[in-house]
Amino acid sequence: LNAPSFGHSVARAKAGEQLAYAELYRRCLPAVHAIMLSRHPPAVADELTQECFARAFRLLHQLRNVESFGGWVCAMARHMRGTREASYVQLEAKHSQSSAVDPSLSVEASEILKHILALSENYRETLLMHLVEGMSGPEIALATGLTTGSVRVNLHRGLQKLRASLGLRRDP
Amino acid sequence: MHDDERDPDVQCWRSQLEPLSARARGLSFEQLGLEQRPAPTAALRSQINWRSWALAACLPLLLIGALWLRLSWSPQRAWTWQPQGTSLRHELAVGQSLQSRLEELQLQVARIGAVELHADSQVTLVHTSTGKHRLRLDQGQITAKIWAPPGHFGVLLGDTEVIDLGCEFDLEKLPAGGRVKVRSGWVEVRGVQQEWLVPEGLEMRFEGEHAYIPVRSDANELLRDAFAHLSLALQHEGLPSAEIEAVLALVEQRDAMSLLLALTSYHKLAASPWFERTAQALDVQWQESHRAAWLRADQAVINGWWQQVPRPPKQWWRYWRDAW
Repeated sequence: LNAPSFGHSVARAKAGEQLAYAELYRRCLPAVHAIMLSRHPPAVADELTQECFARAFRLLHQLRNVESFGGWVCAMARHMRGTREASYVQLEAKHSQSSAVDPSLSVEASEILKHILALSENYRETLLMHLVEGMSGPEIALATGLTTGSVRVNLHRGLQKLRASLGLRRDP
Repeated sequence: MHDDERDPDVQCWRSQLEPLSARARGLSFEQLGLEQRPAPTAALRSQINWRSWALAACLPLLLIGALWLRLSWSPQRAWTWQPQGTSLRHELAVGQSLQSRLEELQLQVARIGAVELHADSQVTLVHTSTGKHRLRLDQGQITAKIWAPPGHFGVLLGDTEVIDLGCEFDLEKLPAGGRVKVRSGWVEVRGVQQEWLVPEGLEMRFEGEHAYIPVRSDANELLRDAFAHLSLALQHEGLPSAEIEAVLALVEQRDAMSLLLALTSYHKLAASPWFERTAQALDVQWQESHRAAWLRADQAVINGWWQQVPRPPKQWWRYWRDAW
């Protein structure tokens, strides 16, 4: 995401170039997946992430401001829940053993995830991008369309709230 | 940007949560199966845009064509009719009459609408051609539902002609004269002496040369009688003060159209309290000079008052629901 803006890749993708689609996917996958994780169980999040990209690429010709691809696909990801309510319920029932967390996750990790998911949306998304997907602040800003200042504040306050929630104190 | 790269808690959380990441869960572009759903190419998008514009450009032409087809009609061509609830069609040529007994009949008015002939009624087709279709009501009652420009359809009843202005109306032949009741839009009633416009929700009775002031279809007997007495009294010289007071004591806000129609036909009413009551009902900002203008039939002032009417006459296209 530190790479050049999205405009060039989007233009090539609009012309039908498969490599450009792959590049857009690679650059935005962590952010979209984190947004999905902030709303859905992991198995559902995986499926909805793929569906979100398929939909975004199908509608790519409608995107006027090509530079805003990251924010556009993230907004689409946030709205996927409403359209996928039925299958979300079905999948959640299917994965009822691990409704909120993944069975392969350690007990400690599950506990951390539960505390992150209890935070408000802004902190939840930013922390998952940072802690799960390993994205840096500038990467998050570019992917979501937020300013770097907002991301910095969200990260700082989000980590503070997570520590407080887990009953930890940061060493000076 | 952030100093948490050295934060041991953050490093610990990252390593514990890493199995949830998209990379660790094996999400890949190849799984999308994008080949099956390619994005529209530039050429295809261009074609879609061209088709959209072409369709948008053709739409007005199609609408004009459909309207032209609806309104055009050959004078030699007969109308068709059928008993209600059946599909067997019969023809009715100019000069022929159609009579119903116990059953109701449905008569197609060229392509512009239909007339329902109530039981024990009779009509005669007097004239038909593009722009002018005329029936005569010989007996009984009809309901006409027409969607066409003003004047295309009309019904003769004695010396009176009821002209459709794009509407739905009932017309009944009475022992002396007749009665028209407007369900939607407007009709024009042309008598020997006067012409009246009757809007939706009002009905009007006429006898020979004399027309009664239109009243609300749901008006009570008391109000109907008061308007009828006033209508007769207005035929004579002078102002019938008692009859005017009787009506004004009974009218409500929703009688605004009756008040305005009476004032339009009998300008002398402007010299009475009828003038103020009409202005109040129509919510017109009036001046004393308006009274004199009404009395000398100043069209500019009269038109100004008529512009307060919510649905002015002759905007027949507004009643497009009557097209079917």
